[in-house]
Amino acid sequence: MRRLLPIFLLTAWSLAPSCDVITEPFKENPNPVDTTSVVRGDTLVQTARAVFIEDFTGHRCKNCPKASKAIKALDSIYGPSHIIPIALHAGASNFTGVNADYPTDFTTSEGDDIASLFGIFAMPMGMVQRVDYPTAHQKTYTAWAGLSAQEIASSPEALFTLSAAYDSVSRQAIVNYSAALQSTNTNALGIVVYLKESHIISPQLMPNNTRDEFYVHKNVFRAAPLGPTGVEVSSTGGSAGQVFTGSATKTLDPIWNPKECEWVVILYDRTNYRVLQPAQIFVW
Amino acid sequence: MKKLLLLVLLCSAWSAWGQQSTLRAILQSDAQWYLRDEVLDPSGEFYPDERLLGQGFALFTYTDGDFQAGMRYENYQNVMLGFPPGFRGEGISYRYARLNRDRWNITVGNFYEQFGSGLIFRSYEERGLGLDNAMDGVRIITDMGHGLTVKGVLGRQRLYFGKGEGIVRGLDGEWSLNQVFPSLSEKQFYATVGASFISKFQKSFDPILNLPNNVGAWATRANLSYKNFAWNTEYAYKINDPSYDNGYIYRPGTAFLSTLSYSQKGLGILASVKRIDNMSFRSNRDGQQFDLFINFLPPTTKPHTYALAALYPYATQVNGEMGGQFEINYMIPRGSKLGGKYGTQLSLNTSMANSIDKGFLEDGTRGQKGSMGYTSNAFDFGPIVYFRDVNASVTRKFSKKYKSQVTLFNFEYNKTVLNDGVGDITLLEAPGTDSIINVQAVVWENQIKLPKGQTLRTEFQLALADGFRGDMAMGLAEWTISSDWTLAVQDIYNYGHPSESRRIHYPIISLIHFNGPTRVQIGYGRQQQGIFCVGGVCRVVPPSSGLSFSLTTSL
Repeated sequence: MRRLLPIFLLTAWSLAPSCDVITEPFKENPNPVDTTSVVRGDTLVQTARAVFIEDFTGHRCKNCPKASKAIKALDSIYGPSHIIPIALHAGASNFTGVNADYPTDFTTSEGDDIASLFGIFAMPMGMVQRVDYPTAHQKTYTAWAGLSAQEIASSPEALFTLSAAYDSVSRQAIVNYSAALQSTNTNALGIVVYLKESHIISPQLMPNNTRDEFYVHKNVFRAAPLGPTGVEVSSTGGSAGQVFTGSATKTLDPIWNPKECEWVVILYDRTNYRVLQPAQIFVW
Repeated sequence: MKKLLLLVLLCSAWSAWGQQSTLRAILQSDAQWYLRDEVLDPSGEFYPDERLLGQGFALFTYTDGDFQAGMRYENYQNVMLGFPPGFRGEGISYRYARLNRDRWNITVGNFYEQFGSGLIFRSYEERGLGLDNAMDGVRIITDMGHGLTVKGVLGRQRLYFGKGEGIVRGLDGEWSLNQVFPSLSEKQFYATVGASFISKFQKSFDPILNLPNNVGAWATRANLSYKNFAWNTEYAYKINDPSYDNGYIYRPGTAFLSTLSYSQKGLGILASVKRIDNMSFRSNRDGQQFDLFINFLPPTTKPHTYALAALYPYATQVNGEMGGQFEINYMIPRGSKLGGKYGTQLSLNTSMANSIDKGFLEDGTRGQKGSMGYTSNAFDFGPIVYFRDVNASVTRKFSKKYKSQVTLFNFEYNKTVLNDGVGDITLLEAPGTDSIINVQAVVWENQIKLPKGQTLRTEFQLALADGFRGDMAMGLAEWTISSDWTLAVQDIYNYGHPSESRRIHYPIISLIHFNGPTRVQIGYGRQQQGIFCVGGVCRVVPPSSGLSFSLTTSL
């Protein structure tokens, strides 16, 4: 009997945690998404601070792939839950314009508005959380890693819960957001929603002055359904625990691949554009 | 501070016990100085900013009687191209203390372990891949007597320099029947049966899906041998485990592996079959690449070591595959007409892997998130061909100084699945969109003994492919100058690449020095882009060019 005792102990130790057999995969009232039109949806519940990086780029800008590579490196270090990039093809037409060699028009009116608002004067150029506006907010790509590390190391000021749904028939996409403040803020707050698309194969001028016909463009800014600067959710800020909710919809352009599109939602300080927290989620 | 204390304790104990204890160390250091190669990497996409990347480890093992302790220090400054970038920085990644006394073997800290063939649990390290899912916790092994051995494990898994959030706990029992029934041994019959159970815990916060926090898996196995025959078989079952790998479906997973072999002097035959259905099992349901795998699904294809054949490796498809392998090795007796003076070795190996049957659910969907995924008949093959391999070799020693081997290969390689990583559900929705590459290859290897203890080994390889990499030729000469020095020169010429700009040479020259347990290698040349696999687990190797250095030693 003494020899059997260890068996009983080990068995109890190992088998006591039972298996959770799930018979109802979906929760009864999961979120505000209209599930009658859902083809396939996804959700995101943030638990940590994320960093919003805006990369002003152009397909005829030969050094711009280096900035894209810097984002790729950051993504490989911190992952997509922490690094939320967007590539805005906006600004000088000698970098962003189309011609026979570079036929795809990635520019948008909303993207141009954002570039104009922040006075983007060169490429590649970027912003990290839009910090240091209005004097020193334009950051070269070599500075992005250090700034990102600082941001990630600090406590989150707000956390998002996102849910997305997409109707493949009407090509209408919806994102529902819920931003919960983690600390008190007294400034006016705004929400911006952007739509971006990745894995677009189109020519790009490369650092060695060659044309890469099959360059893969990522995080390409496509639309801002709530406008380039979004909407104000509070004129007086809010206390910790306060939640701001809302949604945005967009009918996808026929040439956009819904499986490569992502929503980007940011909560920001309306007085200086500083981003408190960004989040991203796939459309489909 | 705790790690430092452990080190001090180790050293103190070693000093105190002097002759009764031993301290061993294994050290490895690798580095590469990357050179900008505009032919190999025109856009500079793979050219690292650091120019020089290096990584290594030192493993210290202290043994004193029935007590053992150890630690491994690793550093990545920064991690070399092709390895997971999560390995960044330095630190003590592995430390443990173990006592093996009486019928008990107790380990606290890090440990590696495997239940059966690993279908539901294998914690292991494969340094060449950058894979290390070491457990950090407690392991208890006890010999219960009468041939029964029981193992219990509890802990979390290594994730680079941290740990995954999921808790892994398990139990395994193995019973050797021969110790209870000695008469079986007299009849040359040996039998071992075993069973195991593993459960993982990971809290879920998903607002839409009811994800299981606890996911359990069990397996049973039997290893039987009678005279020249041996039969090993294992079956595993896993309950609903929606994950990134399977697209968050709720279908239970199953795996079956069975191998029958026969061996006698001069003849060996092996046949194995395998079926995997939704058996990705990680301690983090959102894990990707090699991160936090709890189990290991052994391959039933032959891993090839010749360079051109190794460019078409098979990677186990965790979401579903079905296949098998047959191999026969025969030595034509020495002194016979065909065997010659030293005998001739013949070898034939063939293997195949297909997708499994995946039919639509009653609601007409397949593979949808939150669903049961699909229906499947366990005895039906799926329509997607993953891999076919037929290879045969003849090895003959013609004299004391000359030995030669010719090997032929014929592959059908599904590039879309194995190289591009497209899943079977995607291909089932768009049949015929996958690209299967047919490859025929031949390798002629020679080993020549030269005067003064020198040897020369040569390889001539040719691979003809109807796409993807296209045709290639390779030559290699490896000259063992003495017991201390070896010089190797090789060149792969990708003369038939579909893209004219990729029809380039990949030369490599290496100098290797041995000094007792120390091995130093310096190499210079080009490494082509490819996939490197060990045990069916693969990583992408980016193209690179430059000077490499490797040091391995033990003290």
